[in-house]
Amino acid sequence: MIKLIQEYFTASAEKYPNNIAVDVWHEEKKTKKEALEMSFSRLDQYSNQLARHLKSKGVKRGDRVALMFMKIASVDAIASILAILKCDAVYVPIGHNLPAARVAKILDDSGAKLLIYRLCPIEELKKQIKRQDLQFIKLDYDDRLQIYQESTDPLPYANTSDDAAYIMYTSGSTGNPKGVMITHANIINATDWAVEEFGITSEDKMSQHPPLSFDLSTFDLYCAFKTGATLYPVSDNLSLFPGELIKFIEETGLTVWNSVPSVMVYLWNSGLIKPDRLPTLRKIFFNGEGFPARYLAEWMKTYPDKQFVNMYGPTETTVQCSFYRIPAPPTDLTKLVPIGKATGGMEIFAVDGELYVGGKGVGLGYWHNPQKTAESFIEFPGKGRVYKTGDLVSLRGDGNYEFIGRKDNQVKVRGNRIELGDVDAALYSLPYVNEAVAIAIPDIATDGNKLVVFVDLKDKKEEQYIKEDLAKTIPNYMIPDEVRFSKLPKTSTGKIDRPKLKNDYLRSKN
Amino acid sequence: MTTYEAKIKTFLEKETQHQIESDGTNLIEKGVLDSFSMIKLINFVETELGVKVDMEEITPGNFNSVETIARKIETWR
Repeated sequence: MIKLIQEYFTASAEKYPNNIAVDVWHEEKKTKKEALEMSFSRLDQYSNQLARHLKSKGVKRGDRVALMFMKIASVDAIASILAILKCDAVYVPIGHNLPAARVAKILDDSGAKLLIYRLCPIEELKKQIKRQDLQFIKLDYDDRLQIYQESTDPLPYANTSDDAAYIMYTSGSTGNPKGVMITHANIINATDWAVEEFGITSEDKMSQHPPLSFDLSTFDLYCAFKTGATLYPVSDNLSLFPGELIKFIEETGLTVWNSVPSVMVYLWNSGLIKPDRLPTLRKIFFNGEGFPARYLAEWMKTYPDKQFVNMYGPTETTVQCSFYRIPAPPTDLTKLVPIGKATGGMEIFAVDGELYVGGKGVGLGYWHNPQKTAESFIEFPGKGRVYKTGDLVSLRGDGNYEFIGRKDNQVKVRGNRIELGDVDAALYSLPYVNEAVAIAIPDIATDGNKLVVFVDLKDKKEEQYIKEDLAKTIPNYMIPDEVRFSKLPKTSTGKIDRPKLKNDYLRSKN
Repeated sequence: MTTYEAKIKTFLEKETQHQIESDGTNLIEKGVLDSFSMIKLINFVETELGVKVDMEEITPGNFNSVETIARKIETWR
């Protein structure tokens, strides 16, 4: 019985010692000195060595250790995660492309003892960080040679399943990131279910697309660790070049893909997605935001034999708490794909339209923020501890939930109740829309709200033309007051940054 | 500077609101090229410059700066 997530890895290393655990695809791989791939047994040993090195730097049970790596250094990133866990410590993954000021906030808030990094400039960060006691480990070639001198023997663990394994930072409404604490037991529940439900095995080759700082990566990592499957990190550069990305999927022979939907929309728009491409890919998972049905329908018509699964879950409840296997290409192109039913060990239900999540994946709460924790994690009669998602849902006749919008995105405009997600979906159903988002903006003139939509178009269209098109699918009161044409800014996890759009808009009016 | 270089630079600066320091600047590292500006750039090359882009041929190595992008376009002309 596995109690700690690093034990998944060690068990696979015993069972499949020569399976490649992490394989970084690189055109010039053969000429590079760096470790771009590593077997399960070697990576298990390397992480034992690194854990000893961390302990020699003073890392103890319960300490937070931050890590920041570019995708190309994934072998070291994953070795670091394992090593941190093997010290009974908690890993705090940080996006390598975040502004230094934000990284400094996370390091200060988490009280991390150490930052392990590679191939990331940290001069600016060192200037911004307030603490004097933070240690840095630059895991470069020379460091590794030194670490290789440590013993490869297994380490004893003191942690239990209920101890935190990672803290991931998500954006907070006040601009200060919140650290979500997730335990070993939380991850084991999510992983055991996913491996069983989707039949993932040691033969599988899995993408590792989301940054490690985004909890979507939990699915990739722990499903692979548990089964002995190989992880293929997808570099940021690769994602920009559809031809290269497709070549990558084909040459590595990926069988499992997991990403946010926007990557798949981008791939579709390249025009390279054809029935004879991607022959090895079997299972395609997407999570993190709604998949515009129009694009999903195209993908599914192109690949009727592949499995498409929509996953849903806030970071607070560990990767996924509900899922929906899409049975056939969507026909109603104005709707988002349902978020489905609860995953194993989880329970989802709606209270006044808001989705509550209970079960074994509900995390410990926010790192040293009892007030925010108490607001969102509550005791619910007969259900135990549940997390209030703030997501509004409706229950379909077939027992699947549908996402309608954010609780805080439910707005009233001139007395009419409007779900912004509804307007978003109408915009996405227009063939010339690349990306779009609707936002309610306080209107001083009426003391109410006005509806502004931000659109990024493939072909130029006039505002009036768009409004007329929208009027074909949504009621008049949902037609936006104003259409703004712009590129849509993204948060570090790739979602559309609504607060930024709103603030920029208000500033432009002053 | 070829005409392609000038046109690409003007287009990307207008589209992304970024200043491009030189034709050799790595646009991916600087965040000028992302998945959205890339699609627009390709659309621009095909419709405004009248050159068909071979999506399978572009890579992070040959399509990362004003200079390399212009050179690549020359090969398709």
